[in-house]
Amino acid sequence: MADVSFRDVTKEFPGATVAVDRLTLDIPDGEFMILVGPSGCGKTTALRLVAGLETATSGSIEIAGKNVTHLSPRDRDIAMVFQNYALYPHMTVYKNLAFGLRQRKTAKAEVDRRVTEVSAMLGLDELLARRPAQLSGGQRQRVAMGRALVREPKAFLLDEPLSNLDAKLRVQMRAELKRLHQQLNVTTIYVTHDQIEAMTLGDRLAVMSAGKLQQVGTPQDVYERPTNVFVAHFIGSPPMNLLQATVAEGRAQAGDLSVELPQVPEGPCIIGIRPDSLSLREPDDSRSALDFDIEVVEPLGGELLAHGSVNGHLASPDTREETPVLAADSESRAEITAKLDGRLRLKAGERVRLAVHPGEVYAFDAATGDALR
Amino acid sequence: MSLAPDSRARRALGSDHVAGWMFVAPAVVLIGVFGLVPIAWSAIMSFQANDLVSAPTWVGLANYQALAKDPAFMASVRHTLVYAALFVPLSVAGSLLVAWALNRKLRGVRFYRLAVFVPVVTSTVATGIIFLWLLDPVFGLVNYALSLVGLPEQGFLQDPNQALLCIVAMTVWGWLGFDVIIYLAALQGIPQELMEAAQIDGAGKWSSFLHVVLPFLRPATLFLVVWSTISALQLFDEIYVTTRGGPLGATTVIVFYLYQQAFQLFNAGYGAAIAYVLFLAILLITIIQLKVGGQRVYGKS
Repeated sequence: MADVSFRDVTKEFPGATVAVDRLTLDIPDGEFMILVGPSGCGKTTALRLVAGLETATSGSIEIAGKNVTHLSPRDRDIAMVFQNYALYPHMTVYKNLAFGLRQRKTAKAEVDRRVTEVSAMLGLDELLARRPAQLSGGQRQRVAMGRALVREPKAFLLDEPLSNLDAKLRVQMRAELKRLHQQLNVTTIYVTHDQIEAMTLGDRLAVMSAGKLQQVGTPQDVYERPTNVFVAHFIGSPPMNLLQATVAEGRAQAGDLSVELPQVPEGPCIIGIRPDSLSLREPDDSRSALDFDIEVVEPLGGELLAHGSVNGHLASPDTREETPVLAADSESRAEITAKLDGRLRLKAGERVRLAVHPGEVYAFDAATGDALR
Repeated sequence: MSLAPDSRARRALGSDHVAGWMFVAPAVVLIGVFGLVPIAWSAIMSFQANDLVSAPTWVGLANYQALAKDPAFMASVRHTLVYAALFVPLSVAGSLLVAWALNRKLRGVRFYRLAVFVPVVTSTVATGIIFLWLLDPVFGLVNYALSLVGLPEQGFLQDPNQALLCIVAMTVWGWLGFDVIIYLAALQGIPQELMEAAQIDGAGKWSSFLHVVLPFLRPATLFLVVWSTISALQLFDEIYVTTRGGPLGATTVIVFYLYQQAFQLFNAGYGAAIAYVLFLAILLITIIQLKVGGQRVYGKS
């Protein structure tokens, strides 16, 4: 068990692709850290840098206070679970579990003890004589986990370990992973693009985009106080609605929505509203309101998702794109989503009036995307 | 008005069944005439005294009984086994080494792969003649090179102690490319993640090779061992082009002895018996190899 640190780590691939861009991140001993971001954001490369499967172009990586930047994987004392499990097809489950220990010249009795212990923990005892080809997806996943656990390494590295499982197994294994971590308390770095995994599993999240670290914090922190428009849009499902707005005299105007935002400087900005912050306007509602034309209704049981349009312009979460010029006079429509009470009987084509509490409206700088409050 | 007979005939002619046979007919005829008929005919011949010209007479098992007591046949078996015992391991291990070296991203790797494969598609006659020149005791390039470094000249293909070894070298060189292609394909089928998992598990280069790569290549290895053994036991072309069984019979392998008996001495019945003994021996050896090696070939996960 040990802490893991990235110190100003950059990884460039030939052809001038910067996969990881000056990443600095401290993962204390025993933490479950999630690296999350869209595909190509550099999260897997960051994980492989810790594993030693890639070497940093610049900067350094420390495990337990020791600089391991140029050590080979075998000398780092870490274990990794791969997306496709990477089990040795010609070895039995027992041999798969024991391989790492054997390579490290562990005594036979000790290998036996640890394999027995881990296979009991993961419910693999009945399967020790089988080969990977004779196992189900969930069982292979467990063997892959077991191969990491049996080594008792300083840190676990998991690269989208649940993405090859079906939905039901994924939920089950997710809970099991959490239980295992609470039991063993080993530093864990977990890469995923699934934000539900990110929210439910992590002690903290590190949100990445285009090789850069965007925000680090507890799941609640990141969800409630995103530092920029990218994080706001990426974390949360369905994603936050983003609209172009103009602020004047402490009020932001976006289409026919007018919200009181006293701390926000005058001029253009982006406002964000989570789908679950929207609700139908009550008769004597004092909240800000806007007209919403329903186009598609997706009932989820307790809740329903209503997709439709409002007056205004959508804003892009990607601030690297050219900042669009506001065309205040046009009759443009913006597609948004609202998460409403499932008991409502709404139909496509209906027009309803939605309301939002000003305290639940986020504001971001139109040029940089940084949060404005 | 009844259309039944006419439409039934048309249906029969137009059916998939007939069309299918039409498509395979050329191949069936070729295989029948040049494959099945000679196989059956030589089986019959092996029980005859047959000089290919006069009328054959039935001799029962006499050909097979004579074979068991024929010292020349026994010598040819010995030469063949020595040859196979050298050729199979050398070509399988050698091709694995070359494939391993070629299975990486290096500049001009396509050229090297091509270079390794060229001897396979070159005719045996051409390679045989080239080796005759290279290994000529008096004018050959190899002896010249030896003399440059102060080593004595060798007899090579004209030395009874060296001729079979030279044939081994020549055939390993000539057929290596085929084995290399098979191994290259197998090596490229190893998932990158598997090698990385082994690295993280603490396996060094040699250990990953031993515990991950080699087991993964087992199906390819089994195929190559079986295939090389069969071709080694049937060695003929290279002998015919270079030594013609000499010097002093040192390279007379089974198939070359068969050829001498059947087509030079016109003991076709005796030759057919040799062919059948060889066939049964190959069948037996292949079954044993598949039994031993096949148990340990597993599907991929």
